[in-house]
Amino acid sequence: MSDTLEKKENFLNHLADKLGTPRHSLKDKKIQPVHDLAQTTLVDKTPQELLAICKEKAKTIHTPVLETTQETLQETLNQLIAQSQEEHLLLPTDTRFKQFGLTDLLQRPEVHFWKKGKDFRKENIQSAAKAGLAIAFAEFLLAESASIVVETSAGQGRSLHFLPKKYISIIPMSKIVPRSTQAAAFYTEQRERGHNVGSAVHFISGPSNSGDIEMQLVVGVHGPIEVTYVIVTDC
Amino acid sequence: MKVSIYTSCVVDLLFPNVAIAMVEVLERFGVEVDVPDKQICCGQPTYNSGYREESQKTLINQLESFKDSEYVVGAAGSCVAMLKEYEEIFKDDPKYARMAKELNEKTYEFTQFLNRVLGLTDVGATLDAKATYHRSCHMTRLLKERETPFILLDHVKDLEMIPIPHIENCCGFGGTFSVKEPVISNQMVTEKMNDIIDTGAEVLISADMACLMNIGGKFNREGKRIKIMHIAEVLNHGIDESRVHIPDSVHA
Amino acid sequence: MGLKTSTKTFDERLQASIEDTFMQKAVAKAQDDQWVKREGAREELGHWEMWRELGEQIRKETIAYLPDYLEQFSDNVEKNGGHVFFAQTEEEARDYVRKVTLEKQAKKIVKSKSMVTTEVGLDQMLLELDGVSVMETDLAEFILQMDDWDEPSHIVFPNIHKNREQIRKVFEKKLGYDGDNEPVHMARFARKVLREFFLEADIGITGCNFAIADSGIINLVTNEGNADLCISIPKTQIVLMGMERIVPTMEEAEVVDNLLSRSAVGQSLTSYVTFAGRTNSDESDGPEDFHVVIIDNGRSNALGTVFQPMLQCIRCGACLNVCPVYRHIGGHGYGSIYPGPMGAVLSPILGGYEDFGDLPYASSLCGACTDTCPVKIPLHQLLIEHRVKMTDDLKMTHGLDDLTLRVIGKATASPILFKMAMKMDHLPSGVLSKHKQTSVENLYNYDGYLNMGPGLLGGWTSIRDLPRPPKGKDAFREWFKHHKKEQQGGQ
Repeated sequence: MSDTLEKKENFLNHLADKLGTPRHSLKDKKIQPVHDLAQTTLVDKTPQELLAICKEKAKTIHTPVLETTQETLQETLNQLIAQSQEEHLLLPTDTRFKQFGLTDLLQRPEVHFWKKGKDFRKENIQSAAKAGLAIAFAEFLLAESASIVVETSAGQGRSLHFLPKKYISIIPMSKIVPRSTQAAAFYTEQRERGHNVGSAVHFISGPSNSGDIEMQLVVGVHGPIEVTYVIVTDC
Repeated sequence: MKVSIYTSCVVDLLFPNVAIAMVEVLERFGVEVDVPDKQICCGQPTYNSGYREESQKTLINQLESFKDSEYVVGAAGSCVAMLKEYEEIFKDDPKYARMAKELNEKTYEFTQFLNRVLGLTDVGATLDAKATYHRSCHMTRLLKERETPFILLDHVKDLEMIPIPHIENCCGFGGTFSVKEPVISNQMVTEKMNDIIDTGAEVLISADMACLMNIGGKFNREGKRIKIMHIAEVLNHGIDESRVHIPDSVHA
Repeated sequence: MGLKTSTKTFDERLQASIEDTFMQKAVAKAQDDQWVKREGAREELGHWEMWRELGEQIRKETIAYLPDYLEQFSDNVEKNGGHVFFAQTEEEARDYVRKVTLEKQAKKIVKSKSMVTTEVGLDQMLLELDGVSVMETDLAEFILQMDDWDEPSHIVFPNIHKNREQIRKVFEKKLGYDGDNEPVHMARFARKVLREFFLEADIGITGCNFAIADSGIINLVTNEGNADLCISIPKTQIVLMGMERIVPTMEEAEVVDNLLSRSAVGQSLTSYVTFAGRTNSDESDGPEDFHVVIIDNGRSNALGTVFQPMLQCIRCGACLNVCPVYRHIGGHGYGSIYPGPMGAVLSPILGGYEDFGDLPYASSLCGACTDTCPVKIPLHQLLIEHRVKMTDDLKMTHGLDDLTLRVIGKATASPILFKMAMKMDHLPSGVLSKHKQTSVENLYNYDGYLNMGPGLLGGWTSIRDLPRPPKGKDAFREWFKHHKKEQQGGQ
């Protein structure tokens, strides 16, 4: 037995001794929640009602929520890009941009893409650090907390969401769920079924902030200073 | 209906006026009152200080003192909470488990008894004063009673109640804490005193005489003016007999 | 730094704390503000008591099978290509991190806020390594580091004891900052300093809010996003986790994250709630080398004992934010990196009564901590349990009051002794200084008050006055006897 393995066995045996429960008593036992509040909270709301809840909450986290349709999405983004006055744009390599008809955006000269593959680690990180604005699709929008959920993939690394100065998240209306419960359940199920899940899943609620100096809220300590949610209402 | 008064040490030793007020209010509503002579202390000072063995006899003495009582009504939220805790403490004791369970079920803090058992809201009292109420921690958090004192005070004629800032904060009494950690206790009671002064109240009311002894003691040390009243004294003040109606529950 | 943050005695620390009036004001204001935010956030969620029950259930049932969940987690980390090291002691934890750091020939290490790294004295070890520089990236921890590794005073707001001007001076002296003391300006300045360091970091060291057993990933919760950068940029990540910080799946993590966010900062969710492990083979950033150090360091002392519920703790700091003792003595008063009620319970479990035996007594047992705990740890009752251990089990004595309390125990158990005391105690108090002039009405109705006294009384009268007891004939029980006689006579 290797040193590390022996340590592990000793460690776990010690805990079992202290607990007075033999190891491997858990078997397939799962925690049966004392109630289903998590699963039932806000589930009676329509998508429109959820969006209204989300918008209310977003005000408290300094995040504008815009509504647009697939048809006007390109135009909305163009306006936001112009307003941002940022010159270096970062986009993931993500087929959804094409699906949503954003071909013009993909061809803009100031757009850089997160490149697939380990070889581009340094380049991608540096590109993200230089980026004034990143635009990406969210997997979910959690209405209760006004949070987006993003998942890493080959075309969309972790730093893309944290290093750029500003950030726009595009969320199809169909991806609005009541709260974090639904997102957690989705990824747990994906894993149970043996489906691939990105190595990192982030629930992000607005811009980076801190209350560490006299508890006065300051926006933008590490991550993006400005975050905007764009909801595509007809899908 | 018969009630045994649970005096609690602080009232027993120092504040006969509080126990007398309780007796007078209860009798006014047709309740027969007795004071079991054997009773002493709920055992909290030693029990909470970690002296479990030393506390055992104290707890048993108290259990036996009230074993024949129909109701036990106490003058202090904290001491009442402790008495009710006996059920948990003695739950595995072959001899006293049952007695402790019965004690829990028949024991009430004074305002709880008036409101929750007798169903009273207006006890006929009048007090022409501006007052504030100190909510004791144990009554609020251990006994979990947040309402009955306020319901009864709401119906005291001419009484103006002013909310106290930081109502949730402890006054710094804490039993033996007050003598073992005077430095911290002083900080706490000083803030409490200042919060009370900020209300502009002339009278400080509470359902726990120990807290009042602590806060009042600080006021006196600093030469600040305040009148201290246990809630039983308020509810026994300026009685307007026309508002006193004996509830049916007394005869039940 | 380690668990113990001070070599001073408890009384010396107390004195220092109460003289620090800025700290006291800052803590009081923080508590008051957090009270509004926290209670508001809980109310907004609704059914708070039921949520607490769920939180308690999740934590309790996880701890009950701790070895099995840890094993599951460890297997899953390894399945993903990561490494797990089980450290019984803080030395083992430090040695492992040192080994990885040297193997990686790391020059720059970024850390995201983690209490457990402080507990095991990681910073000190890393700073002693040649050619290695370390940067705390949480803004508050960064400020503490710049201030020569000042000790944290709160588990969520480590920097709560410092004001903006103190921070400005630190930045000016250590980093050449020439701006004003506006928090936003100082934060942006820190952003710039930290960003440069981040981009060159070789190793990211993080704590772990919760480990997810079924997937071998880590759940991190922050508002600044520094943890996310720590797990994105460096090629190596080392996670240090207290062994109890684990849940079965993301679904349970989600519940406790909600409780944590609302309880810690009064938000429905903190800005960044992250679930991440070793990077996948087709992804280009994130840690290729992923290490988790699971640390006991005294936690197992609680298992199978009355203190086991303490391992339910999710480090939200709500108990600090409601504690009236913490309010006045601040974090440094406790002499442990875990202050407040949770610290007063946990520190003796981890570090023993020799160093931390004073803490369980520094509580008025007001129960505010127990009331607010989102996972229902009976904190104030566990403080009493510590007292029991020290008095009944270990026969430790605590100064003069030990004897006094044993005597009180005897007197309050015996009706005869108690009555003798009731009759006697007016006599000896008569020889002490007494005063009749009062500013307080209706408290000193029986012959005035005492303003000094011996023994235990001295603790009382050092700061406040004590009523004199009535003479025997005025006592309640005498009154009641006459009253009954009159009633009977009248009938």
